[in-house]
Formats: sequence, structure tokens, C-alpha cells
Amino acid sequence: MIPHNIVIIGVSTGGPIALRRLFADLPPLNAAIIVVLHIPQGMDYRIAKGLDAVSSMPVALAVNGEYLRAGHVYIAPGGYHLMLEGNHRIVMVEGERVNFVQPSVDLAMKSISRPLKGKIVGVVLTGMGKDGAEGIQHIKAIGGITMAQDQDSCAIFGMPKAAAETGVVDFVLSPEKMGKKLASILS
Amino acid sequence: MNRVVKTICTAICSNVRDLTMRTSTKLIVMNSLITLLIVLAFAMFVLNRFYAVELREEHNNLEKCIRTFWAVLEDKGTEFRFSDGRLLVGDRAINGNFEAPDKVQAIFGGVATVFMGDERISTNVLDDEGKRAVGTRLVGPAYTAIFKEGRSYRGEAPILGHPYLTAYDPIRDKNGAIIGVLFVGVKKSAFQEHFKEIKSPIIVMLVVLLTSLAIVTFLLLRITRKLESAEANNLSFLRTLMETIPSPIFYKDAKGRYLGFNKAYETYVGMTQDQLIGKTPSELWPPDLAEKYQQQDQTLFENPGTQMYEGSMVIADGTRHDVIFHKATFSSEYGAVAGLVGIILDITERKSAEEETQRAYQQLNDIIEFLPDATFVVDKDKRVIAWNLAVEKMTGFGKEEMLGKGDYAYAVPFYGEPRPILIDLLDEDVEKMEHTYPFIKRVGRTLFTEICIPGMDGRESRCLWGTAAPLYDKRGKRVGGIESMRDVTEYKLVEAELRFRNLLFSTQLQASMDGILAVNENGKIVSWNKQFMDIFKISSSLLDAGDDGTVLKTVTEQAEDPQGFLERVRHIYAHPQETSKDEVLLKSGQVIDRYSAPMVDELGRYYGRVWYFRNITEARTAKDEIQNAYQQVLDIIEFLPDATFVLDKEKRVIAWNRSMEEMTGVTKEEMLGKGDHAYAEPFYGVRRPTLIDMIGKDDDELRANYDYVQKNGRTIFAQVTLPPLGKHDTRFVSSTASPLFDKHGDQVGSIQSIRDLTENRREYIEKSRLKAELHHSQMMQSVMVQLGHDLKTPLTPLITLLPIIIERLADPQLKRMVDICCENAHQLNELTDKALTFATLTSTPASAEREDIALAPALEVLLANRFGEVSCENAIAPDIVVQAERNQLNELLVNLISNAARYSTAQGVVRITAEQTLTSVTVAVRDDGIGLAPQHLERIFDEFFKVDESRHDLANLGLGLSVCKRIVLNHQGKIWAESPGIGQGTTILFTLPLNTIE
Amino acid sequence: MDNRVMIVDDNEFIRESVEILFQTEGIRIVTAEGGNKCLDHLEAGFRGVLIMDVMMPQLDGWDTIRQIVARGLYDGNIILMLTAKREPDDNMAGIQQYVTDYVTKPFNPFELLDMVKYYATLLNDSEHYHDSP
Repeated sequence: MIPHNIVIIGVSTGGPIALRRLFADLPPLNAAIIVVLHIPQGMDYRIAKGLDAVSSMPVALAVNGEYLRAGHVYIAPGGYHLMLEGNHRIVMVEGERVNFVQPSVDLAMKSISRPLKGKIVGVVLTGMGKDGAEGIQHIKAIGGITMAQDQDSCAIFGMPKAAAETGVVDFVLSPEKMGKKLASILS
Repeated sequence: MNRVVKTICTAICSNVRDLTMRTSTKLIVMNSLITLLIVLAFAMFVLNRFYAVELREEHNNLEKCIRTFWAVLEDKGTEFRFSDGRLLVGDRAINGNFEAPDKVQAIFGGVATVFMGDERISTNVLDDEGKRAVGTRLVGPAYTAIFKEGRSYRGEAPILGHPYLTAYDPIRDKNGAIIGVLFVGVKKSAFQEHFKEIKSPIIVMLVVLLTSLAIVTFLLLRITRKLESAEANNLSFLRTLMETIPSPIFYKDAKGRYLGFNKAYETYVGMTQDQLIGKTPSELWPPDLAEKYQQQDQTLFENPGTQMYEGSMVIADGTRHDVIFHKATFSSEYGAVAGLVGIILDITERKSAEEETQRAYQQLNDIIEFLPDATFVVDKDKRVIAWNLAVEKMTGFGKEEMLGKGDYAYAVPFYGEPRPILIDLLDEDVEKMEHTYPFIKRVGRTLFTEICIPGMDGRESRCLWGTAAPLYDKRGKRVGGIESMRDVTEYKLVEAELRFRNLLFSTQLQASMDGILAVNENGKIVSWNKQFMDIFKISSSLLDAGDDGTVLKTVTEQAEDPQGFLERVRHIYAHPQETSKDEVLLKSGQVIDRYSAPMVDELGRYYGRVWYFRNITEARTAKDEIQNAYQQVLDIIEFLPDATFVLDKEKRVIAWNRSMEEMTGVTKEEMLGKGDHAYAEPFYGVRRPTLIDMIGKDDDELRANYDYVQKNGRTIFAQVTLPPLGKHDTRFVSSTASPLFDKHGDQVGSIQSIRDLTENRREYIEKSRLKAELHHSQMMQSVMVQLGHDLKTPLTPLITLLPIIIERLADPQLKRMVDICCENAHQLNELTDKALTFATLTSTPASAEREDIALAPALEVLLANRFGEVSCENAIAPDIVVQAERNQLNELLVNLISNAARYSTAQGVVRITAEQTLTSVTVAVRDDGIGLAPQHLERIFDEFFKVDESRHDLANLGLGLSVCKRIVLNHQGKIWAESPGIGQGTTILFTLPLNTIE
Repeated sequence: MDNRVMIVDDNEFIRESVEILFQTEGIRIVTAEGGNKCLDHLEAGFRGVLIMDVMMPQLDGWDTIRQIVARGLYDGNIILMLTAKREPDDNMAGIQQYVTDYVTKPFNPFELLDMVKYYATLLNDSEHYHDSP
């Protein structure tokens, strides 16, 4: 069953804690959830395990060629760029770093195309830099819903700030409120 | 072909729609029938309900009536008995006594009777003659009920032609034997009376309706059947049509299942009807194709109409063919999409033809690619389809950036913005474009132009020759356009240089003291000057004729020795390479210095000859020559920008220039010829030696007199402060003095020039002061920033350890003490943060990193943070954009909002609005809080000012609004406060410059 | 359970405070007064959660991370940066994926404890999976 709804989350420094806060009380969503976290190889699966322990949905590292399933959380592994093919299949791409990072949130978000039906939600959480700002504009442009983490709850208000300053972000929220918002949009 | 396909498609669609309609006609008939029956049943039901309710009411009335009758009778006694053939109640006889029935009649309006046995003895029922019907007997079902069965009777009975509701109760004696009957009758109401009358026509009407409907239905069904057979014909026509169409045709229902095909389709895919009908694409085709079909069907169903797209299909032989699908939806009469019809066009062959064309295009592209002129090609949608090497080189924009781009993207490399350029003007009227292009011309369909493009990205402005032409296919249809450009900047520069040189030359020609005549290689006069005309008194009309002969004749005539003059000229023309110089004596006595030289370019080409004639008659005496030179020098001095004067040997003023007059207010007339240090008076107020008198003095003496002095050969340069004099304050001047010598090396005078540097110096001092101040404040700020960061380090252990200590302490007093320490450490931290912000903000000038910021979204980000209990309302229009440094703007807004929140009422509202004028945006932050006294309105922006001095609110340093003021000033804006008074809220307003873009 | 934490800071009071904070919770902690000492600990086999000051003399926090990565000592560690500045630091560009979190001085001790404990569990959990990836 191809999920119609996709939540794509871009996050960097301070990410594991922010994700834990977001997923701790999040009910299972009718959406495939993709998390692009700036992490090196070797660190990625630990974050996935940590998140799996607190999340109501199964959390795992994304696998190249895998088809998305609703109610599952996919963590982008380090060392590759993660992209989506036809909005339903995960592809790992080798290549240059983008915005100093790999995986790049911008690349991942921009690989999503306007869905025939269903909702796309783009989220940018705490982190250094501007990765995700272009991506979030793309998400908005294809009719998606956009969110950024608020300053008070951020370890570094870099990426969410850059995203919010594009002027296309619908909601600026703490991770807890973001969870509630996601639940109300997608369940 | 496409149109044909579309028409067929639409035709099939409408037929298929009719097909569906037929079944629906039946449905409608059935529906209306059922509806009618339901209405009928309902009407009957309601009618009966009404009747029943009415009836119950009447019966109640009847019971009341008979109970009243009993009561009226029993009023006279409780016991009924016979006595002497009379019926008694108590001791009163009822026979012939009509009081009781009449009373009942008065109350209920009905009739009432008392029977003794079965004989009426007291009644108000009247007989045929209008008398009380006493003596008549009770008969019918009432009699049976009472006397045979011993029970009461209720029922309907006609009384005097009217239907009545009647009630009969038995009258019993004390032993229980029935000795009489009590009767009352109540007239039925009008409704009741007429119910039956109404009921039957309704039923009749309904029956008629039903019957007619049945007939209509029957007729309709018959017509439908007829139609069906007509349609069957139609359908078979359609089927035949479909069969005859060579293209494969299919149709599907709204769920995307195949409904039917033509023969061509079956042949094309190599399957039969049975294999196909009712199947979904995914059951028939490979997954990738099926998915695409389904997606496309979905899209079509979501946007009903027609659809055309390229795709591929697996055909009978198992290979994949490229096809074009033409699809159209058809809908049921309810408007819902009922299905679709599709026609398939196999374009595999066409594709290869296209590829051929593509190759041809590629070749063309290759040719364009290596054209020496910068060239690009656009298709008919004005998208770039070729962008050659030369244009890449010219613009620095690569193919990959340009190809496929539309919306005038090709203008960006040239103009820095998308805009129409030459290629877009192919259909315009040339005359209309003349104001846009310095030069434009159309030859056939091709436009030629010359244009200069402003410099961008650090590149110089350039001049281009442009050519643009439309491109047509072989059928004459416009398919695009081509533009090519040549950078002629270099050429233009050369041209400009040439123009400049010509100008220079002609200026020289005219300014020269010599008479000049230029003759080209053919002996034609090409140029001359006024001096030439003056020397030989030749009119310009003669020269304009350009004939060398006449001019030569005129000139020769004037020579003392015409023969020799002419010979010399002839000799020179015979030897073009020769230069010559000689003196010619004219008849007028003038002596002319004649000089002639050929005009030869670098390659040795001969262009003609130039003649110079100088009248040296007057220059014969040396003295005159000196005078001449002297005058020239004086002329030069006069117009020197620096105030200058010249002294002769005797130190008398012989020159006092215009600048000097301006500087001192003393005119030439007053000063020329004066000696004895008179020239010092305008500067010092007294006659005294000045710099010009220091010429030749030794260094020590110089240094003793001047702040700054320097010698360069015989020239002295000095700076000196002049004392206040007249309207002048202290002046600071620089001065140069130098001796003047004749050609024998004897000093003949001296010259001094003076420049007032007072303004420059003041400016310089002011600049240095500002610089020093800036440096100081920057230093202070960096000290503060450093201090702020350094403070964090010792605060860290305090804030880390104090909570742990508190946890471990048991003594509550001690605990409270450490608690206070901890609290204060936190406050210290907050203060540090505030001071840091203040220092950082004030140290960065906002001008450097300003950007355009959309105000509403920027504020939205900030409002995501909580500001106490108040709610904030962002009422800024989304299109307002300001120029500001982002961090400073954020700080400004956060400060103002927190401030408003702090002084707002509990659960108050802080409203932020913005208004845009031509040059600026005014933002207002309004609270509904404690307000401000008029005398505080201005002071609140002062550093460390607090309205309530007694409030020791440590967390509020009193810096907030002064930070705001600083930020607004950084942005060349204004900030002020408005308040109607104490308790009525405060509005803080500030202005920011509007964005510059657009 | 082998909870191990390293505090890398040139200020000895901060080092000691953090040490006390974690010892009170029964978590093993080592201290390093600079980047070089930190590298020594790692070379000697330390694996755990590193709390590292940004501004240190000689080898600063960012350069220390670059060294850790260059010497192949990153695996099995989680690095949290300790800084006095709230603003993002541009020097972090290029190594931000190795910086898991960012703690601003002065910090709330209980929040730091909570954070470090969570990261420690991530490291511990993973050791179970290490044999059968």
C-alpha cells in the first residue's frame, strides 16, 4: 500500500533530543515519516534505536530501494543523500556534500513531487546552517504544509530560522506542539 | 489527424452517454411511481389520524355529557325506583319532568332522554310534529345492549337527519335490576360529518392518478424500448464506425475497467473481447505501464474533459510501441463521470521521423554552435533551444544555465534582468522601436540594430551589433527566432578615439597661431584655419570650393616674388616626401615663415600635405617676443586656481590674480604696482615680510617662522596659521613661493601662491575626532562583549553546583540562603545576556548588512515565542517589506513586544500594525496596559530610565527601549511613544526605510 | 552499564563542577583540560559522551573534533559542544554532523544530566547490536 501522506523532517545539531521530544507523545500517523538528520555513518543506527524506544511507530534506518509504508519512520543513514523516487521509494545517492552536509535536507525535500493526492508535510528542526530552507520552499510550492521549530526550544536556531525567514512556513512550534499539530493533520 | 481523432472521441463519448441515459429513464419512472404510492399512503394515514383524534375528542365530550346527566338526576336523589307507573329518583318523579334533559342540552347542546323501561318519559328529542317525543320506545342495538346484555351502549345514530354520537346507560334500582335507560346524543362535528365525503374523492383522485401514471409508465417504457432499438441501430452504427476506424479504440468505466474495444484494438494488442472486458489495466499490462495508465485515468477523472499524452503500449507481438493516447470522459446525466473513451495513435514510426528531424536540428545546432558571432535560438514559446559557444563566451552564461529557459531569461546575461530584447521585437513596428535603439533597421524579416548595454557585474558597458530573424519551417509556419550579436565595443572605442582625435586636430587647427592649410593627395583642399584666411585674406567661399589652383593663385599674387614662390610649391608637389621650410616676403611687407610636410601613415602611405604659415613680422624684435611671453605667463597666472601674486625685482606687485582677489577682497587695481610689503596687509593686517620674502633665507630662519616648511630647490613650501583678521577667523593656509629668472639666469622677480586649508583642516580634525571616538566606542563594546562572554565562565560552576547543594541541604534556613544565591546567579546571567545584546547591537552598524525583509513573516517567527500571558496579534499586511539588518530588527520587535507584554493587563492583547508611506514604513506596537504620563513619553527611551523608580526589578535593566532607540537610529528611523494617559495603554511607534527593490 | 562521560574545558571550576554533577549521579566521568588531553583519553580507549568547550587555548573545540575525526577516534562517541555564545558559530560548518548537541553556558545541571544520560543510552544500546549488525 503506497502511503499518500509523507512527513519529511530535516534536523541537525540538537536533533536527537528534539526528535525524542517530538516522537515521545506522537500517536501513529497515517503517513510515512522521513527524518534527515546530519549524522556520520556509525551514529545513524544508534539514533534510530534510541528513537524507536520512545516512538509509537517503528523507527529504522532507511534502506536503498525500499518502498515507503505508512506509519513507519525512516532515518536517513549517514554518508549518502536520501531522495524519494515517485514519492514512494527511497533512493540513496552518493555525491558531494550539499550545504556542507550529507545527507542534505534540501536535496531530500526537493526530490518530492506534487502528490496526486495526500498531504506532504515539511518540518525543519534545530540545527546549524541553512539546510532545509530551500527544501521547505519547495514543499510549500508543491502544496505541502510547512513547520519550523521555535527559537526557545532549539539548541541552535539556525536551520529553523533560515526556513522561517523564507516566509513560507505555516507553523513555528515547539516539538511537543508540532507533534499535536501533525496528529491533527494526519490521523 | 489529431482533430479527427478528437472528434471521433467526442462522438463516441456522447453515444456512450446516451446508452447510460436509457436505463435511467426507466429508473425515473419507477422512482416517481414509488414516490406517488408513498404520498398516497401518507395522505391516507394523516387523514385517518385526524379523524381518530377528532373522534376521541367527541367521545370524551359524550362521556362528559352523560356523566353530567347522571349528576343532574342524582342531584335529586340517589335511588331510582318504580312507583305508580312512574320512575322516581329519590322522591321526585321523572315522568313529564323535562328539567334534567333540558339542563344537559343547555350545557352540551345535544339531546338527552330518560327512558322508563324502554319508553321515553323525559326527553328533548322532538318528534315529527315538533313535540317532545315522550312515549316512544327504544329500539335497535341500544335496546339489545341494555336490556338483553345489561351493558351501556355507545354508537352513532341519525337523529332528525343529522348524525349523532349517542350514549345509553342503564338505570338500575337498588337491587340492580334494569328499570330504565339514560340517553344523551351529541351532534357530530363538521369535519367528522364530512370525513367520509372527503375521503372518497381523495381515494378516487389517487386512484385516477395512479392509473394515469401507470399508463404513462407503460407508454414511456414503450417509447424507451423504441428508443432502445433506435439506439441499438445507433450503437451498431457506432460499432461499425469504431470498427472502420483503423486506430485502436477502447472505453472504460469510471473505475478504469475496460468496457469495450474496436477490432483494431483487439488486433493491436492481440487479445479478444473476452480476455479484455471487465479487466483493469493492472490485470492486463506490465506493472509500469498499468501504473501509468491508472495515474493518467485518475488525472482525467479528476479533471474531466479530454486528455492527450504520449506513452507506450505492449502490442500483439510483445514489443513496446510509442503511442499517443487521446482520451475523453463521458458523464452520466447527473454530471458524474461515467467513464472514458480512448483512441490510440501509434507514433513509433513518427518518432523515428522525429528523431531524424532531431538529428537535422542537431546538425543545425552544431553549425550555430561554432558561428563566430554570439548566437542563440528560441523556439516558438520563446524558450532557448540553442546558445552557442560565442554567446557563452560573451555573456559568461553556460548552455546548461540557459537551455530550455523561457520568460526572457536570455536577456538576463545582457541586461541583468528578464526583459524583451531584439528577438522579441520581430513583429514590432520599426518606428516604434527607434526610441529604444540608437539604430534599428529592418531588411525583409530581419532586424539589425546597434545598442549599448550598461555595464554589469563589474564588466564594462558594451556595444553590440545585433541581428534577429524569425525562423520558419518548410510550410512557412513560424517555429522560433534567432538572434546573433557581435561585440563592437572595441570598434566603437576606436571610432570614439577617432572622433576625439579629429576634434583634437580641428581644435588645434583653430587654436594654432599658425595659418594651416591641408591638401589631400589629389591636390584638393581638405582643411584650413582662420589664421590662414587672415594671413592671405582669402574668403572662406574660395576655400570651400576646395580648388587648390585658385587658392594658390591668390596666394602667389601676394608674394613679393611670385615666380620663386610658385616654383617652390611646384617643386614640393613634385617631391611628395620632402619637407620644406623657408621665409616668404609678401608685398604687404609681412614676413611669413612657410613650413610644409607630407601626411604619411605608419605604412608609408601618402595622404597629402600640410602647409603652415606663421606671420613672423612682429616677432622680429626680441623685446616684443619677451613681452609676448610675459603676457602669456600673466594670462596663465590670472586663471590659476590658487591665489597667486607676482613681484618684480623691486618687490612691487606686478600680478594679483582673480583667486587672490576672491581670497583677500583686494582688487588688482588696488594692489598692482604697490611695493613695501603691501601684499602682506590682506593677510596679516600689517606690512611685513611673507613667504615670498623668505626666498633665499636659510633653513633655521624658515623654521623659526613657519609651523611647517619645506624646500624644494629654490621653491619654498610652507603651512601657516593666519591670525584672525576682519571678517576672517583664524585661517590655516599652505603657501608656495618661488623666484623668477630671465633666460640669463638673473632673478627678475618672484611668485607666491596661497591656498586656504582652513575648511580642509577643520574637516580633517573632525574626522580624526570621530575616528578616535569610533575607535574608542568599538573598543568599549568589544570589551563589553568579551566581558559578557567571560562572565559566563565563572557563572557556569555557580549555576551547576548551587542546585546540587540545595538538593543536599536539610536545614531549611540554609537551603533558603543557597536558594537566594542561586536565584541571584540566574539574574546575573540574564543581566549579562542583556548587556551582551546591547553591546553587540550598538557595535554593528546596521547599514552594512541590510536586506529586504518581509515584515509580517519575520514577526510571525518571533511571535512563536511566548510573551507571558498576553496574546499577540500580527496585523501587518503581508506585502510590506522593509530594509533592515535582520538581527537588529528581530531584537527591536522582541524588545517592544516584551515591553508591551510586561506593562499590559493580564491576558491583554498586544497588537502590532504597520503602515506604509512612499519612503518608509511605520510600525506600531500597541498594548492595553498601564499607559504613560505625558512627561514620561520621551524619557522612556533614555538608558536606565524606569517609570517606577521604586521598582527594583533586576531582571529589567531599563535598557530595553534604549536598545530599541539605538536600533531605530541605526536604521535612520524615528521612534516615539503615544499614550492617551495613565491606565489607557501605550503605543510605541517607529519608522524604518522602505525596501529599495521596485 | 558503563556510563562514561568526558568533560573537556580549560576552566578547572567548570571541569570540577561537571565532575561533581555526574559523580553525584554515579556516572563515571573523566576530565580533560584541553583538546590534546581529550585526544590522549580517546587514544587510550575512552568511548562515551564528550562535553567539549569551544573556546580553549591551543587546540580549540572545533579543531579537536577535526583531530578526532582525522585520527579515526570518532566512532562510539557522542560530542556535545559547550559554548558561551548563543549564536550559531560559523566555524562549525563542515563538521556539524559530528556535533550532536549544543549546550549554552551556563547550563541547567539537571537538563544536562538528562541529555547526557539519553546519549549514553544510545551508545550503550548500540553495543548490544554491535555484534550482530
